[in-house]
Amino acid sequence: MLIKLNVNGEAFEVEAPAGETLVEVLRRLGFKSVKDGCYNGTCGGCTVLLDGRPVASCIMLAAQADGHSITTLEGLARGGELHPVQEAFLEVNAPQCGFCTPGMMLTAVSLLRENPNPTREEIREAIAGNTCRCSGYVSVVDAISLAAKKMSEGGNR
Amino acid sequence: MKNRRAGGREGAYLRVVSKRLPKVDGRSIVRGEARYTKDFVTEGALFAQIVRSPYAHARIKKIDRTDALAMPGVELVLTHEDVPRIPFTTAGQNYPEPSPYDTFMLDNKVRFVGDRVAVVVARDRFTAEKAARLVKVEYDVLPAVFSPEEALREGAPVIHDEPDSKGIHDASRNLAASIFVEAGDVDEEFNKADLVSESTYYCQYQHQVPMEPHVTYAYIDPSGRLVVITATQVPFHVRRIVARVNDIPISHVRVIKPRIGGAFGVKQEVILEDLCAHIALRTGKPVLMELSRDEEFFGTRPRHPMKLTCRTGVMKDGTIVANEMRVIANTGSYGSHGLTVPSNTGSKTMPLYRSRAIRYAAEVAYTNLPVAGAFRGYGAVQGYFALECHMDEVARKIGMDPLEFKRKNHIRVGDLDPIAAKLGEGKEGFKREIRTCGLEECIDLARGAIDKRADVAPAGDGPFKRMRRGVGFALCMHGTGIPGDDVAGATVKVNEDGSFNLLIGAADLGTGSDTVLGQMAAEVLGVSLDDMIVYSSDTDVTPFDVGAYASSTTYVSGTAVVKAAEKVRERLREVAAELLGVEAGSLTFQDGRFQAPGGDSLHIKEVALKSFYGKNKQQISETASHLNLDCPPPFAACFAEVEVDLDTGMVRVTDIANAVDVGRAINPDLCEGQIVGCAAMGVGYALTEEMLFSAEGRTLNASLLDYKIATSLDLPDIKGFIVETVEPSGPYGVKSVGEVSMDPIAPAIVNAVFDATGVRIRELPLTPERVLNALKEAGI
Amino acid sequence: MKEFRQFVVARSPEEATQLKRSIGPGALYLAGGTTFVPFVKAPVEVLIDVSRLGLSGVVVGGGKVAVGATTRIADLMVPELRDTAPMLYKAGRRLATPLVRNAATVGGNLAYAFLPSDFGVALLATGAEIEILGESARAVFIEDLLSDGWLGGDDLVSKITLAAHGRGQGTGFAKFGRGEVDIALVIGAVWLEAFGGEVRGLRIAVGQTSSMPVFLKEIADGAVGKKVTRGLIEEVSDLASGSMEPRDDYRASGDYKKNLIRVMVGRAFAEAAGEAGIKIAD
Repeated sequence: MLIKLNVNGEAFEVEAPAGETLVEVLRRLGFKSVKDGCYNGTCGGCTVLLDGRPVASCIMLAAQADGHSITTLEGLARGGELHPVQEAFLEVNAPQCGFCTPGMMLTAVSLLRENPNPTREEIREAIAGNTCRCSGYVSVVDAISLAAKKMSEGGNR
Repeated sequence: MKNRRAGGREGAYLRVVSKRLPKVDGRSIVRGEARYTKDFVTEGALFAQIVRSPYAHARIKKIDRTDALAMPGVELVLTHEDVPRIPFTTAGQNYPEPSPYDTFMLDNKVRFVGDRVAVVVARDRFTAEKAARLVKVEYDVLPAVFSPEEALREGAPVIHDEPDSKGIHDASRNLAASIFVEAGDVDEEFNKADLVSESTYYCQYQHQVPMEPHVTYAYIDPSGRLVVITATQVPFHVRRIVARVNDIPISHVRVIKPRIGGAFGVKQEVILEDLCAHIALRTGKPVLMELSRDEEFFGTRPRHPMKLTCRTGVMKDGTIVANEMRVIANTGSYGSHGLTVPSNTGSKTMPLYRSRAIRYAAEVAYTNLPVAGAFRGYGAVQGYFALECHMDEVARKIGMDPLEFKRKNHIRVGDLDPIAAKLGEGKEGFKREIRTCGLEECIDLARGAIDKRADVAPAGDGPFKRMRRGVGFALCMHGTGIPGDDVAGATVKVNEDGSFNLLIGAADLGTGSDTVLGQMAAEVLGVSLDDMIVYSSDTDVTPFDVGAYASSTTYVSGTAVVKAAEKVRERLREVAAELLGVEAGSLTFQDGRFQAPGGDSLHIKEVALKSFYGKNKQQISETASHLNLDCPPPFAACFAEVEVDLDTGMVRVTDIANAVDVGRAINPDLCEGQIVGCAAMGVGYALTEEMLFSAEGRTLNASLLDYKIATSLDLPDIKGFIVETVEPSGPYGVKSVGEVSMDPIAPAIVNAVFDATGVRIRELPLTPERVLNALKEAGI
Repeated sequence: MKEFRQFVVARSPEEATQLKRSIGPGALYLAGGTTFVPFVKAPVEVLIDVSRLGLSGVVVGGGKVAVGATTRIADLMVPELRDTAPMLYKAGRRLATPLVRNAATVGGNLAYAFLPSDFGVALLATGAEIEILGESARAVFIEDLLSDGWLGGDDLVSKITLAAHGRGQGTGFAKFGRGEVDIALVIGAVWLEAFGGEVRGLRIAVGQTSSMPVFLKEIADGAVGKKVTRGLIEEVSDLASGSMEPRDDYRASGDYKKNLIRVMVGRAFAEAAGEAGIKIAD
């Protein structure tokens, strides 16, 4: 079936089997930052923003996203300029293997839009669906806290 | 939470090493541009899906591929009849591997539920998976054994009855390996002891759960060579093994490790590469193989389950006089790492406490269960769970405070490790002297970091929610590299602008070794990390390196890097000397400048440029190799606070501090990342992670839904501390951090549960049900 | 990739139910997809997308809270609803992960009630009227839906209506999992209405892994008129636990789950009493 997706502001028309999941289609379109680690919505590596809200794209059919707008990590940086969340992750050296990082950062972007000054506990609640096996989450929470600070100083995005 | 680093000895003037510099691959990761194995796959590549055994133990009588082959899009179905029968070990170890050669690419027998039976090659994953289900297999089902006790019993079914396997200790008894080492006369010392205390501990199959499952992509390049891009810790071992089992020369194979999504030991193994390469060679087409998440659980190499019996003889004043550990280990259905992991259980743990006599023995049994392998800690994690809980018990039995008892007896600077003299990792022993030991500093830091809340009741404590709080601790030491075995190479090549290519075989698993090794080279050369172009883990381009395991990379590969960088610096010194018209020996080097006695100086970048375009034009490039001959132990102390829900048995870690003597932290951010990450993994090992099996040997919880790893809500803000003791044998004083940091976690937690409830639980993990049963048995 | 023949975006409830009727068990309604996509392995022919039928949204008024069946669970956990329908927040709080909650719907959660359904258990406790479209269109109390055998045929849940939280009322939702993020091993959900420290109304529902929720009407009714004491809570919890025989499975033994039922019902009852402003007497 023909599926119309808006990804990172660009319109795509994709011919895909009805049963293809959103992560499969996105990766096929070249958005390799979207990771497929479990295919049952339990690891969070496939997180994308659907109309601004973080969802697990491996448990959503591409057909369900028809007509919706999707943001992947590739869409976060504006040209050469990094989003404050990306800057913060870089500054505290949060990414280790980096596999959970795209999902983490997108969840963080959505969190900070809704809650610009979250406590560490609120950050942990927000990233509960993004599993990280490397970091023990401390540097991730540090990064998101730093991003909140940057964004409150430099204006939101 | 920065600046948790304490006890650092700055001493030496360091410009790049010791700094919290951003990872060299950090920018590409945060931009979503980092390329993992699957990202290299081209349009039109085939996908190969393994057909797996539903039985724990069976002979394959017949395989009917007709229906599978009839499916459109299916290219090929291979069975044991189609591939070479060459016994090998999948273990990523240096040659000759100490693991038995008991595995075949495809065999006519299956030995665990999930074992390889055949492989289907199709145009895409969906088709391959569907076709795999159409392959009809007739089995001759055999009786199976699911515990070492069953397997070692007289008359048990023999799992490896094939004549062509090699290196099995006693296949007829299902005994993969047997280990024994004794220093001093243990039995005599037991007789002299005031008290002898024995206890037995049990620990489980834990899976590494890397976020990226195993994935391999193989293709034939335009010159006809096989290229294997794969998520591995050991690209050079993969090259050797792939060549061997496909009966082609090593020179025909190129292995590349790109970015990988975590490993923790499970990728120190040939899981897919042998078969993927074979299919690429056979079809001439690019082939992708990737494990689904459930296959990742039962089809790879989780941690060896063990039964550990500790027995210690002490005097009334707390002196340990005899210390013994006896282990029965389960290596699963194939023996990869089956000798070396249980060896490590003894060699890494027994030296921690001084004792007049020490004995360690282990029997390693095959069972018809998933294959155990390398997992961060490599046997020491199991050993320390037992040892540090046991010693906690021993101390209390003689009425001594456990911390005082352990402090009294632990190894010190100047001591010789009595076990190392006798037991290597499947090799001869060696002399191991303790030159640095920051254990006391670790204890002080970790202990001091736990907020003292003993007098405050846990939140929610009340008639309908009875909660108890407790604190426990554990100490440990580990190793750094495998002496006499770990070898690393590094090449440093000069570019005319004063940048340098650093080519290293060492494998960055996300651990940051590219960055850390780059920092070390930059330090030697007096330039910044940005001047280093780091490229790693490509067998055609980078020098040999055994790979990332045994906590060897920073110490061993680091030494090779430093040597190569020093060689280049010396070559550039000669060029500088010629340019400045002085003797090379008269030049000093500081802050990147070659300084002549007269006051003239040249920056190394200027010298680099001149080396290309001056009179004596040349390409300066140096390769160095380093064979590790030592194993200086890092040390760690972990203090943990738990809250136990007496009505459900649920244990939560509410505060945890992990302090590690790493020798030197080359990059404190990355070092802390290991310390904290290890602690998180240790909490899972202690409380929630275990693979469960049906009565027929099928893995029941091969999913993140039912195999519980910690989410952000299951952990407190873990406190990690770096202690630096500046080890003389290590480049810039390094030892290691990646495994030692996990060793003390589980026993600290188990000891904390004892402190909270008075109940001693000796089986991991401490699931709520297990804890509640123990509480009820104790009448709580 | 999932395998099915056709994906149909229904443009009206009639179209959806008619299609379902004509195909039968080979057709499934799809709302959020967070259960179907990962967990339904049985073969399906047609998926009927019901998420664009305008069945989303929460309307508060006239002492009632009406929740559209395809309302995202995340949208039920908003601060505005915390006081009006506190149980909705509690049921959503530990349901899977935030990622799942941004796509999963209440209706979907009820349709897969045997997993167990956190909302199924929660709504049995508070009481709710379930509006169903299709051949057997009806509005039915949730406990009657349960005793009728739950949903079947072409039943399409369209709306869930519960009473707005009132004075003297309290809710409790105690979910036990092996970690903070888990499917429920056991859920205890309690709704209490009290006056002068005495039980005026009590509703108890229990959920356990891989089973339909259970509504403990008799045990709850037996507490009416009694003083809310620690003894009453313990008695009710014991009765709840005694009335069920959970099976052993690899997640937990039946005995352990039986104990958990007692503990979770007790905690939910205590929580409800607290919310109702009762100081539990010894």
